[in-house]
Amino acid sequence: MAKPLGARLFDWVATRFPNLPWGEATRKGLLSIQRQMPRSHAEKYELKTIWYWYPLYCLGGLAFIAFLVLTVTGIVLGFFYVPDGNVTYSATGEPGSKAFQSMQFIMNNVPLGAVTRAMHHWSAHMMVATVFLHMCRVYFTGAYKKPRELNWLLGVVLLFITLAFGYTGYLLPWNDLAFGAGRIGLELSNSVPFANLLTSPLIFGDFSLGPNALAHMYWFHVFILPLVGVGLMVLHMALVWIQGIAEPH
Amino acid sequence: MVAAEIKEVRGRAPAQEEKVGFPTQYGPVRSDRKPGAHLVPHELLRDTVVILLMIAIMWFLSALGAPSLGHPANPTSQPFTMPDWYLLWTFGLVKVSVIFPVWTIDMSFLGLGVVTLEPGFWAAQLTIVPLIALLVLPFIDSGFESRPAKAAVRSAIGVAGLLWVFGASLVAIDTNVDQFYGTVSGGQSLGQMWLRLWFILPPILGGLATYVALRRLAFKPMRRTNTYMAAVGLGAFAIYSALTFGVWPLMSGDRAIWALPLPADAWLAALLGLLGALCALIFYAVTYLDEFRAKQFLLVSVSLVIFVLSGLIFYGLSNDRASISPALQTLAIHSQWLVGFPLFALFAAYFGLRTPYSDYEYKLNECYQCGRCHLVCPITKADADALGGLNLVYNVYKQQHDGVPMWACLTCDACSAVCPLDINYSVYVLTERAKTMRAGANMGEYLAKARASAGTGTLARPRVTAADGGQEEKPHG
Repeated sequence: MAKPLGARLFDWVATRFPNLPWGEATRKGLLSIQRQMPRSHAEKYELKTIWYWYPLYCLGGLAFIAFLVLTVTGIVLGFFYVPDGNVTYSATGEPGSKAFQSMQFIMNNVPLGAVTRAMHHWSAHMMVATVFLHMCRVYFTGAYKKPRELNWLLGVVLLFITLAFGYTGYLLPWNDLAFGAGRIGLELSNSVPFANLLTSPLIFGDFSLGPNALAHMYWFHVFILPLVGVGLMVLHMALVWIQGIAEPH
Repeated sequence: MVAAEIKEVRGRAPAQEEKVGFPTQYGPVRSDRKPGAHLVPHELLRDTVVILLMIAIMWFLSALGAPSLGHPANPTSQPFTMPDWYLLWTFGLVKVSVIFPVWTIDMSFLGLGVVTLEPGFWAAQLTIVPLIALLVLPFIDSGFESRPAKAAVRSAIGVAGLLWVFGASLVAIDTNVDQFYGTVSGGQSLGQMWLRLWFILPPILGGLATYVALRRLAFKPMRRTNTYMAAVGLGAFAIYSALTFGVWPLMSGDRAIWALPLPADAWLAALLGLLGALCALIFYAVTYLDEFRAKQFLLVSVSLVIFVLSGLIFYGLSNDRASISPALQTLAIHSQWLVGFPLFALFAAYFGLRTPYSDYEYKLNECYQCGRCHLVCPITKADADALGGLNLVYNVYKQQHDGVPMWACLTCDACSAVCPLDINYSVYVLTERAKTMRAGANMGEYLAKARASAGTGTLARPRVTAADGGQEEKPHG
């Protein structure tokens, strides 16, 4: 008697992917005392009212949702963006660069390109705002105290990663704003003696603002920061799941 | 009837507390048991709504406010740019760090050449300050999580930090606007020195005000804090006045502020003295007088100062007297601080002076039924009526005490000692007992008088005699 196709496929995978009791171990882990599905504060303490500041506990989740939107729109934009910051001058003396031209292409020629960029822009603003407000909530409720110090430190690093995302991101179009912001950042980096020998080449590629800076910013924005950021975000949320949300009574 | 109710309650679905990880609910079977708001669907629904709202806002902004691309980068020109709002504070630190000295350190003996510490160096140091503060925060602040209102110091520092960041952003905006659109503000903007005070004064004053307000909200007496606040107002006023009208003009050799004819100088000194006297009076009242007299004193002195000040201003404005007008103008330039400090002292005094009410009703709302008061209560071990268990605080809150906790309580405060929320049970019990006793005494008096006047047929209106402190009632015709 031949088994149905689905069962045969399952067996095919199961013989090649050994049947370790992972599922069972996960289930037990989730159902053990401290790792149940999170219960609401109101549920746990039989409160009939929703606390007035409960929505403030959504802010971390909102930041993550904004990050998801940023990831999707960023992947789309990445198909069309060219990280080339060599400034060339036209016959009439107009400056331009391939990076800026690719931005113009996204805005004018790519279907829904302008909307995608706008979504990327506004969800970046939204993410910074929600991360900042999330930090304020954690601070004002004292949720960073023992045993959550480690998660607070992760959060501080994530806050600065978010700001770095923002900074590297608005340097990418290589327009007036990008150049001005890059100049301020580079001046700040250059003016610290000795440390600038490391920071300026590492972050901006050189001691003066040029195409190297754009290449560095691009690599930070699309690879290094997402890599570090996603890893820390997973840790951050795993710790919240394990430790539970702080309940300031 | 009661038995049927208990049976009905016990027949319901098991309470959350019987599951693992929930605190045990002590006390008799409660007839009002209802589960709290559930994670699913209540909070899930709310979170979904909030998330969708945020995404909708993002779509809305994307549809209406597409970010402009601007002009391509031009290394040869330096156009007007403003960083995004979340980096403005760093830019503000860059702008304000010009007040730091430029140090040139000759390190050629180490083969490192001459090192110059420019404003940018100080700006970088200032930028690192908040990062370090955030990193060390959990290690210098121990204890447990709590509501903002219950941690006045932490909340005050937080508000001060937010105001610091906000002030730095304002400086960035103002200097940029001033630099590129000087004609718009006509050179009459805040001015560099006063602008930099944004870093110092709003954080300090905002933090102190938060501290006062939260201590007030937490219903704690704060006489001493109140004195400190008034002293801060007085001291800040004195320091500001001395710096502005004394030290600064002398040091800079700039007599523009101070270049008034002699009678105007005297008028200015008098006006400053009046405002300073107001601060001093507030300080005196909250420090040395009792609550009632301090309130009276504050009311009278503040009204007097405001009356005199407005009279002088009216006099100067209406008559355009040469001697007082320059003084008033000089005062008006600095009005935001010179009026702010006395006002701060006044508000601190007003909010701090009031005696806390009975804090029980406020704190009772915080009870989350941990049941520790039951565990330590000696009465529940001895009184037959209480053997079934009492959750003292919660039962009183639900008005289910039916006399047992109210009259059997020893007010030993063992429950208050273990209460995680510092709810003083004995305060409530003694207050309630006193209330009841007072009501009983009044009732007894009433009945006695009613009995005495029974023969006259005026039961409804007992006679009040002179001995009671009232006037002798004349018998009706």
